[in-house]
Amino acid sequence: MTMLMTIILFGLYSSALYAIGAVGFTLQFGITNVLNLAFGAILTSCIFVEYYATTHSTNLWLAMLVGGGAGALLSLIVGFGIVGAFLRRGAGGFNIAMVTIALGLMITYTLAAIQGPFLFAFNVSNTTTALSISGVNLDSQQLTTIIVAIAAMVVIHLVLRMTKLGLAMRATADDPSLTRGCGVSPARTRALAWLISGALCGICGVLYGIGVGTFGPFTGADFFITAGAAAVVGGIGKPYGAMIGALIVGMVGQAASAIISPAYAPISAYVILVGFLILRPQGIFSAFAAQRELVA
Amino acid sequence: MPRSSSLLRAFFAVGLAFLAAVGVLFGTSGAAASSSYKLEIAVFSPFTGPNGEYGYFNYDGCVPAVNLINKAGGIEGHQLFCQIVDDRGDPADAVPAAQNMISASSHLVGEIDGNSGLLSATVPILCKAKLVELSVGGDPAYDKNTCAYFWRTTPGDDQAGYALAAYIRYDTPYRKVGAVFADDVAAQGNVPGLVGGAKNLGLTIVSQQKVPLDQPSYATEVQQLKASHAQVITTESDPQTAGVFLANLKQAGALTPLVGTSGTVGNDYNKAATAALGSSLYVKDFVRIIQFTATSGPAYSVWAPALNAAPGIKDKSSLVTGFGPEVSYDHVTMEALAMLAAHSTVGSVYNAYIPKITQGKVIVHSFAQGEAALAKGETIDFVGLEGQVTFNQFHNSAGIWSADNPVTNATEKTISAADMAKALGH
Repeated sequence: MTMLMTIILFGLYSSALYAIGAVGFTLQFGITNVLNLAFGAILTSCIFVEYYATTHSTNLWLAMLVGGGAGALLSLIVGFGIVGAFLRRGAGGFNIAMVTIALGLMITYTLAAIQGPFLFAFNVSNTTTALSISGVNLDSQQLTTIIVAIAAMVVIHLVLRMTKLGLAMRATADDPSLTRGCGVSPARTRALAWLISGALCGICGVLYGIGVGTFGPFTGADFFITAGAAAVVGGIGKPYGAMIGALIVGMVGQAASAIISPAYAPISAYVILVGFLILRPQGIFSAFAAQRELVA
Repeated sequence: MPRSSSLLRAFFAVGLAFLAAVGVLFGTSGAAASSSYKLEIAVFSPFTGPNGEYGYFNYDGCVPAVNLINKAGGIEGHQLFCQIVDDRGDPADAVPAAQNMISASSHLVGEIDGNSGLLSATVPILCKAKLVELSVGGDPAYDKNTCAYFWRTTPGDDQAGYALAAYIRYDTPYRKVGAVFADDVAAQGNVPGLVGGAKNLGLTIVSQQKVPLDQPSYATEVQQLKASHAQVITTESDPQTAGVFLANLKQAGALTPLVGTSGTVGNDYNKAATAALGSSLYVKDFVRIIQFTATSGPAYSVWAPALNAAPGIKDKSSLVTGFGPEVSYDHVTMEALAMLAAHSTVGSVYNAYIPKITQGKVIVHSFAQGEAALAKGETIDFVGLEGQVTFNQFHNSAGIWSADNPVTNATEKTISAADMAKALGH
């Protein structure tokens, strides 16, 4: 029973982290059709900004405010500013993906050059137990992460379904040309998509950074691969799919660790990814994204 | 004229200009170098990536050694310098880095390194170039080393496992052992020795886990450990993994005494563990089994001021008793003394003197003492911060194991040769 509860509670915690990141990543792709492979580097940058701006504070609300703001700003610069410039010159999907890879590496190695190879640490030794079920303890940071992830998913759902902005985003995602013809500014919609994606990226980053306690210039890169896998499993470009994908990846990883071996936890995410790509390549929710135009 | 032709010509022009500039630069530097050049000691270690801290340990040992050597007049009339060569801790990067290191410099005379996981990829390259290499890399494959130019003053990681078992058996009351090692080559190298040593000494390994690096949670691993009722946990992982694992361990109320390996050395690991456990719990519950290096004595009294006088090195107070810098300092000193003894900086000539300078008649503890003795025609036995070095037929020296305080690096206990022999089943 204790092991089962461990799988459930910590599976939820891992899923929550992946969900925030995956939804941010896939939401932006769904609207702009730009594969932002600098997402992991932006995530890492937000941890650094929070660490320095708040002098290593582990207050999650302050961290999310600072990290989310930093992520939104950085994402806007990268997406709307730099990538947008390439798009306006007619660059295609593959070229843009290479640009984002280059940007990600530039950000990562700039951080490494400034900070050196040394790690930084948040003091998490004083966290208290917030929830205890069958002898399994979740601390306040982990429980807050789960709550924040659920709240973020609800907010995203409400924005997409209940607001004009959400309507514009869904319309742009489906048919940017038609949307342009209806008087909706694709540029404004795109900018807002980058902002929201970046905010989610920053929130994910600070929750992950404080959760693991120690971070460095390369921290976001590995995390992003798993979060990206969750997004693909759910159907690239579909936020609801990313939520489900993150839940699957997080829970299966914990279960694999407990039932088979800890060494299989990271492998399980990629087994799921490959399995979905073979059996249902469009993911849980999505149509093929490659058929849509890039939104400049 | 078609636009593409103009562009093509523009590209050619830029390319030719670039090549010309490169040629001038290299030609100029070559001309300048031939008049008075410095001898290069390559510090071939990770300076970026998850293990980037270790490279700086090696470099921070090299610099004081080179400063002392230069102060004493250098080697064969030439000053030395330490060249950082970043292997990034990854074989895919280390191989081209090694090849470039050899081809890029005509004054490369020696190399020091400390990355277990890369030896198999890089030693053959360095050996082919006849570059003398002094290493702390613990890859067990090099217990039976066949490269004439490879020397190691620390035992392989498999020996470390036996030392862990010996410490637990003879210096603690615990008999049920949990083993939590990351799934990388260096950490896993400890496991066979630990398992074999436990068997020889009557310890029981109640939980053995190979954990993947850098996961957001190790809760299931901790629950398995808790269910096994391990009395003590042996561990090695990178700092980020350790931070999460130790925090989860404490959170689950499963914290037991912890015994780490040399792979847990460093400020990054200390930061991560302290952040997870708090400093008092970390110091109270954690001990590190590592090769002995001196924190007092004649060699230390030369090393400590040299480190403190070296410019550009941070955190000297923690480095001065640190395994990484102390061993690197010894390695550079040994290479320099071997060059002096051989009257040559050519690797194929002075390589044979590496063991000779640890077997001679006159015991010396520094480069200056060794230089003075050699000048008198004496044979020397360099006893540095690592203590007596005795190379076996595979160019390995066993060293002495100690249990150190994780923060101050002060030796709390040394593991006797007799206890090690019992762990090894002799």
